[in-house]
Amino acid sequence: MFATRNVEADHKDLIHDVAYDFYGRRLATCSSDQSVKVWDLGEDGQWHCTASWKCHSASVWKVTWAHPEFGQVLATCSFDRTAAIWEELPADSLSGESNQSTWVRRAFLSDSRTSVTDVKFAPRHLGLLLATCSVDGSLRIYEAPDVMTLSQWSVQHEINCKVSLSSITWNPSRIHPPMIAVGVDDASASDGKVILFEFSENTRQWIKIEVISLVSDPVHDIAFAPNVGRSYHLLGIASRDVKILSIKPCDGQSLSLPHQSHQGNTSQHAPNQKFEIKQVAQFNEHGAQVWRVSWNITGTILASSGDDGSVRLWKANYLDNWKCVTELKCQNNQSGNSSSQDDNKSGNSDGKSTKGLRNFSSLVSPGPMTRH
Amino acid sequence: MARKSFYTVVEGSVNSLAINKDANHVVVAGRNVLKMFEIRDDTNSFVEKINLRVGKNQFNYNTNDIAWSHLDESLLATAATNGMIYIWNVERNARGKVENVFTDHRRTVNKICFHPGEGFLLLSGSQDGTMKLFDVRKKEASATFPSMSESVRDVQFSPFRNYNFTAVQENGNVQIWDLRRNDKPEKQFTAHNGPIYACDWHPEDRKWLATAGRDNTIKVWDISKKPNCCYCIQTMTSVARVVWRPHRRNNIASSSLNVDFSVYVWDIDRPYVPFAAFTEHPDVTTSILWRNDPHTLISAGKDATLYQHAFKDAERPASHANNVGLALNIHGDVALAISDYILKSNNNNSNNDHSKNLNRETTVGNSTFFPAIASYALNSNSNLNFSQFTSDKINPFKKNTDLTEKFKCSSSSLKIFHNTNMEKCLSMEWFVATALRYKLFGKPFAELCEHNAEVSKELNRAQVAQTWKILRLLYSTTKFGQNSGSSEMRSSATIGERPTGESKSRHVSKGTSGGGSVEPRPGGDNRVSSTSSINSLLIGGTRLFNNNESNANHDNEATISYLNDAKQPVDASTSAIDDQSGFFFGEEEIVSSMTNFTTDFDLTPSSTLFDGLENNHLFTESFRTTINEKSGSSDLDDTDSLDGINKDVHHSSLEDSDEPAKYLLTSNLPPLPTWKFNDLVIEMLQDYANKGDIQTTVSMMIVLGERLKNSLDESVQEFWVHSYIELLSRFQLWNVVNQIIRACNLPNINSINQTSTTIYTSCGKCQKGSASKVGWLCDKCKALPSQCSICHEIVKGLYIWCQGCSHGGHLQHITEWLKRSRECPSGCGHLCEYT
Repeated sequence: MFATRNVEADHKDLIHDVAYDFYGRRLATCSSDQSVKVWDLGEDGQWHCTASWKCHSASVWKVTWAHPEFGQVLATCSFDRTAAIWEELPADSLSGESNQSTWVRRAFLSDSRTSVTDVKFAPRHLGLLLATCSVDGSLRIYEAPDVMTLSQWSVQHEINCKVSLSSITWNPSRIHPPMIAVGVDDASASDGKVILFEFSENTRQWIKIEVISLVSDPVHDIAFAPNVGRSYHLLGIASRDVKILSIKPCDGQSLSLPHQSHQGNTSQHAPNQKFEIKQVAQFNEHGAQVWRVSWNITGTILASSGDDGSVRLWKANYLDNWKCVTELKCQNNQSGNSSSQDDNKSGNSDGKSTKGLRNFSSLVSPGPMTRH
Repeated sequence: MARKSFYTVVEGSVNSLAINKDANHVVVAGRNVLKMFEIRDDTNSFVEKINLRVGKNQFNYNTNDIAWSHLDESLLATAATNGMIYIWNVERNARGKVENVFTDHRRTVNKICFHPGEGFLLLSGSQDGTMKLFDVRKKEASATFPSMSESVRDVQFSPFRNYNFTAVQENGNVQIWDLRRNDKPEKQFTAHNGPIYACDWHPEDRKWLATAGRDNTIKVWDISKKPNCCYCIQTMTSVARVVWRPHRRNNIASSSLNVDFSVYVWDIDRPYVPFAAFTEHPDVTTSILWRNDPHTLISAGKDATLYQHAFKDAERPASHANNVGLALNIHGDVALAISDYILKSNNNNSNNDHSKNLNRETTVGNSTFFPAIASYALNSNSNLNFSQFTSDKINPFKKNTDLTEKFKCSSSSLKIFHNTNMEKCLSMEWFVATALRYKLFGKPFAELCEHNAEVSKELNRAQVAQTWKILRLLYSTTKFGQNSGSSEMRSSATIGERPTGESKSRHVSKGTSGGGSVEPRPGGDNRVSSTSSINSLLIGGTRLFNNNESNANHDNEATISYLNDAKQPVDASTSAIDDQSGFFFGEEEIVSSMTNFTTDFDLTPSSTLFDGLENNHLFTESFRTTINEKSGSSDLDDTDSLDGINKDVHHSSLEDSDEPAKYLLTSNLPPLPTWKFNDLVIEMLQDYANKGDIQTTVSMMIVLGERLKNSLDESVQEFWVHSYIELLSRFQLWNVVNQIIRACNLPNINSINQTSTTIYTSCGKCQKGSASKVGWLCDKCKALPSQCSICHEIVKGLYIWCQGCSHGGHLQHITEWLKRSRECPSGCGHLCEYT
């Protein structure tokens, strides 16, 4: 069961994206009203808006959190052709009574000539990298060479896909070479609507390795499942329907498990193909455009939502058959917080959330210390 | 009549456009171009009619603006950057069509416009800060209006009161003048923060005036009383032009001064998102106008093109906009931001059927309005299979209203589905509980397995629990056949007894069963795990045997039967284990399989006992002595041999129990011809990982430890451990992370704990750095530095301190102190902050 709670977002226009932080205790929303709001889960189990600021001069399409190791950092992208990096000022610089935090813009990435449709931080093991994609088909990888200096970003790679891009996702696996998948929402393009890029260590370039022709409808959202030790990758796609693809590195280059290597030999495919891509699931149940997909942290459940106004949760059974396990319906006229105080997540309410690891100071120590 | 989109290329960049009253001709003016085009709807093209820039170059300066009299079709006026205003008569037959030139302005003329009622009256606004009224038949200006500012950027007559005009200035002021009074404006107000570049009177609503400027805003003013900004549209760039859309009360088109080359049409009710966008121009669009028709827009720009845009071809930024936001957090809460429009339309689903017909009738007139959408919908009609789709999404007429409605309905609801514990599939409580309760080291293997199986079972994860049990079975038992300490004991026992006779074999088999028994027995005495089996034997060889006499007999038979057909391949037992679906091994099975193992092992090298022993001897160097003794004892008669064996067992187990781990590490057996299930186990681990249960994978991997050595790639292990650590850190289970890091035998994982652990310390009293020094006393003040501020004892262990005053102490003490006071317990007066 889920306890539905309406949060009075008070955005003046459509909300385009919501994002939980790493620990799931903060929430960022962005809207066409050009602002971003940050919500913190209070001790009372309610979400409180702790910051709201105008961050672009047009619709803000996406908001995303950086890994907390880099601080409390957000990235946004907008119709105004820019992406921006925001950092929260440490709370102690303000007097604590207002309960509001201040976010400052650290960088402004204005290389795109068209609307920037998505922005995503790379998985942490790759360092402080950021990928953006835009309507004119540009895919840009930015890097902050010094993770302590959030104001300096340089375009490391720029790739033009020549089709309008809607979404971007990093492959979170740390054992495989860095990989990015982008979704194409260009209805006129005849090719596949998902493009895979892989970073080649030899050439130091991102190389287009695959245009996935299994997906032919414009893609609205795309998401790699968290790779919790999997030997293959799962890619959730929101298009006219929900699709789940599995992308399996098939030369066994990185995962050389004994049983895998001989499997790899038996499956036949073109020699230059590095991946075995197949569709593991497809769902029409939404009966409408699907706008968003999102994975749970173990990558076992995919949530999708679309024009039909419901959220569906998909899960694989032991035979790898993906089925809908839950459908969450939104009733518009809800009687407020009907089930407000019944959440018994007692295990997590210990104190304030750890805001970043930068000031983490109870260590096992033989004596008093001050940092120099 | 639906007009089409088309364009033509002109010679040079265009600064301004003007259209005639009938909207079938357009003139373009720019630095190098001054041309009249006919707009041909039949051929969908611009056809050049007159090029006014002929003959000798009469004007060297850029044409800034052009105006076309709506009363006299032949009358054109152009304004130049040098301040000259030319009056053209396009019907003149001479080569030069200039009729009149005004040189009243000393600087650039930014804007000119004809009076809507008096065809010969022309108003100009100039960079010199004045507006002038000209009668085109006269030689010079008939009136001058001083703006009191540096420059006038735009002037426009009111369409309702012809004697009123508005002028906007670079200082952000808007002035409304009366033609009859040229001393001061009728109204003046500050509208923008910075220069205003454009203004436009609403064509229908007489009280509305739109202004736009460099502050990236378009503002709509109600000027009927005190000027009041009733709408404000925030755009991305400086706005150079604004034009109200005819017959659409709330729509206004804008073009930008720089950077953004698109023409946007805004709905003032939704000030953040353009209603439509024309993005064809590859350079700045300098001039836009409506062709007396809400569906056709003409634009020209610095890219030297002249476009006619059909409104239906416009991009709809809002339709690309994602109106659903969705995120899951680690606890399985679902945050959903969804457009109220979607909610509304889905709520209406139920009573949709009859309202659909109504919709069809009321909106049919509008259908040409969004033909693009209609055609899209028709295309998707081929997929009528989805019932919901057909019910309300596909219907083209419904869809039409939807889009405008959808555009208007610009709010979202933010909903959070808190995952209560009922929803098992998303909840991660089991993960946290398991992480906290699993034991991964510090105990014998079998106990760990047993414990973890118990934990899993309590958390209703039967499969994982079973897997733990199987692991325990597999590795506990095979240790005898395969490995070190205990193995030698039992194998030698078997060897010793086999040829000698039934009585002995019985005892020995008892020993085997006692040592190797894995399943808990009701008797309890034999409830021992593999590594501790030695200990249980240690309790007393004979006692064990005697206590279980009855059991022994029972086992004995089984053993013998297996011994008899010892040659039979191991497959039988293998398959029993292999077939994991069974999950449960009967007692006999275990015993028999073990026996089988050992026997098989014994017999393969040679048929004779001694050879077997010799082999054993060679194999297990570390157990040489025991085996030697054993081999000796096996030569004795029955009772003696039994004693001997017991003694040996006793002896060896004593050794073993001292340092079982050492045996594990030092055993250096060559690959034995046993059933190799390591691969299967690894496959199982991989399978758990693939199913998203990295916790099980890593926990088992760590518990198995060396048993998997050489069979699992180190990089894969690292990969798994990293994944698990990542997951744990998301739940902030730092202690568990640390345990994992410590328990792992992977150098790369262990090194995680060594990074960034340099700590600079200094004495809390005198602030002298003590980094280089190892010791307790501070060099300078000779004080014990690490005292707890509360109990004044030296803190060993968790020390928490304030980074401000560097006082601190035992974590527990400080926590208690802080409940009472915020000040530093040392009395230094600092308001401590403990992070």
